[in-house]
Amino acid sequence: MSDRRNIIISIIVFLLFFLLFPINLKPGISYIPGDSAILEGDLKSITGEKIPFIYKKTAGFFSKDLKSSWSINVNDGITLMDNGFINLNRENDSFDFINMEGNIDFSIVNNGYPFSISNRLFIVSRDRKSISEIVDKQIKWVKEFNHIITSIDGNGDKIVLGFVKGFYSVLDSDGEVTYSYEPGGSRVPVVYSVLISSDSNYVGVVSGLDPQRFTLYEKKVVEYKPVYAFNIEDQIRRRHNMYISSDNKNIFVEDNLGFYMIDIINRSSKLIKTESSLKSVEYIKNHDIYLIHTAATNYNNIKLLTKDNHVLLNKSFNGENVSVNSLDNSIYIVIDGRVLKLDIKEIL
Amino acid sequence: MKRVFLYYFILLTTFSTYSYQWPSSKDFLSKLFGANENLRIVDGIKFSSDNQSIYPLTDGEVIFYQDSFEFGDLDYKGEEGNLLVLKHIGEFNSIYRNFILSDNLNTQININKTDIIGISGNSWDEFIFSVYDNKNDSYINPQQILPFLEDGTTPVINNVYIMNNDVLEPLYMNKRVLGGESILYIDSWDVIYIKGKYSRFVPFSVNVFVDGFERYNISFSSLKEIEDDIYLSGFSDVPLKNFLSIPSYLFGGKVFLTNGRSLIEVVVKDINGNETSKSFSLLVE
Repeated sequence: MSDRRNIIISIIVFLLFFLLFPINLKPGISYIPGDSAILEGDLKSITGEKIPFIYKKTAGFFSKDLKSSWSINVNDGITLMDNGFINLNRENDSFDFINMEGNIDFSIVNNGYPFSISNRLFIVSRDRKSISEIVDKQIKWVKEFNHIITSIDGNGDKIVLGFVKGFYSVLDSDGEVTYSYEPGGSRVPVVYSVLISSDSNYVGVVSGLDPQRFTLYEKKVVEYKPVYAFNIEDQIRRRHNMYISSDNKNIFVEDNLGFYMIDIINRSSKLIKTESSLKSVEYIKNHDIYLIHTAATNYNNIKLLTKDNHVLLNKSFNGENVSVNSLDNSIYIVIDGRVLKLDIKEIL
Repeated sequence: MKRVFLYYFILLTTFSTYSYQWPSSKDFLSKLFGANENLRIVDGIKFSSDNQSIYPLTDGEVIFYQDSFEFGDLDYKGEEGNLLVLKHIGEFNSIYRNFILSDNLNTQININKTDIIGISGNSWDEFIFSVYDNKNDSYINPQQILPFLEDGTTPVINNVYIMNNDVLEPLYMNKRVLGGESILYIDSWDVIYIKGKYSRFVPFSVNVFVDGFERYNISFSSLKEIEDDIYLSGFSDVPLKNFLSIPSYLFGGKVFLTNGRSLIEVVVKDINGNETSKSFSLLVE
């Protein structure tokens, strides 16, 4: 009897301790144990809205309420979609799409790299000169180029491709090129990064060396016209991480010094200096603010930023390959095999 | 024709001014420029090896690199799909695909030809090396500028086929064929002695003569885009789709045969000049 009482008292003390003194991720993100979950479980058990994650060599989904989650060891590449996933095994010249029941939904014979954008499934060939889309379990179209693709972005309708050759192309949902443009004006013309807004009205491009510049293009009927450009101070010779907010108002472009925040409507930009590289940007509609995640080796920083660059939150913590997402009023951080849920209202 | 010869002479002279090196060991050659691989033409040279050092073609400037596969909504840092593009003096780029990049490429801009730029990953993730001529907007056959392979063996012509009215038939002496336009396909390969064994590769050029007159002449010199179509280009420009029409055979061009007896001669060469030929005397009806 006294043993049972001691156990109950120990559990209450243990729980009280964590409620009174939440676990601190160095040096400042706090959460309570009830708002965290270990990433494991059955794929079939995930119900409701789910959030995909990639953490080191694992990937998977967790539910919005953290009541269910699932993770898998990544083989040679992973593609996560709303209705399933592909865990690429490079030794095979084909890949399987596994549905949310855990069964093979379909297989595609192709040795390229599958990936998804806006829940559309694409394959880029291993020589980087062709792209195809899979619709209804089969390859719908294939588009071949004589030039190497450097970057790809898309929405539910269009995709935009950047090339080493120094031009970008916009493709429609049948893979037909509807528009191509060569930004030019630099010693080296490579297109490093491209993005397209969800309504296809804007295309952002980072191109060239000496100078390297960001150019914003606006759609005029079929063509895209340059409407705003600026030179990037610290030239990066790889793909820049670039994000457009889901309300199509701001673009964020990675730079060695931090990131540029570009106001699409007012055609202006501001360099926001950070200690680490831009990893992700999410627009939190409920609060009309941005969640910015920057990271370096074993270092992370998240900021909540208003549209007029006012910093509402600036927190740093340790961790490698951390994934940061947001949904409704919560921020989800995948770290050390767990997912932590932070309430934005409480943080603010 | 003279202009084409002059162009290649100038190209070779320009390239030979600088010293170029094979980016990886020739012992691991897998495919050469122009090879048809799963209905895709190889635009450079492929190597199949594990853990082999990769060197730059020559001194150059890093103009693009990607050290992991980075397409798509989620940012997965895989170990393959890597890419490096170097710009060299003389308006051309060298391109390196599918290998493990050296860490210093994050910060290093100018690459010396003695630097190791990476190592090959796995034999199933073949390293691809290509050379792009910016001036003429085309991939050029890297063997045209690299030190010669030691290769004394001649190519092999196994069979020559003629396609008439969508029917493909092998040619043999005194074969009766229909007159008019036909297409030739050649079952041929080059043989190179590598690592103690003979391996098959795509040859460098094909010539077809009808009754002593040259009717078709293609060398696997460059791949270029002309008005949205890709052409295999050398002494003449041939649409790539012709080469992909029957994947296992080389496209031998169109010939027009008239009634009577016709002599078809096919000559196949490798890049070192080793050649082999086959002739067929045909009865055209």
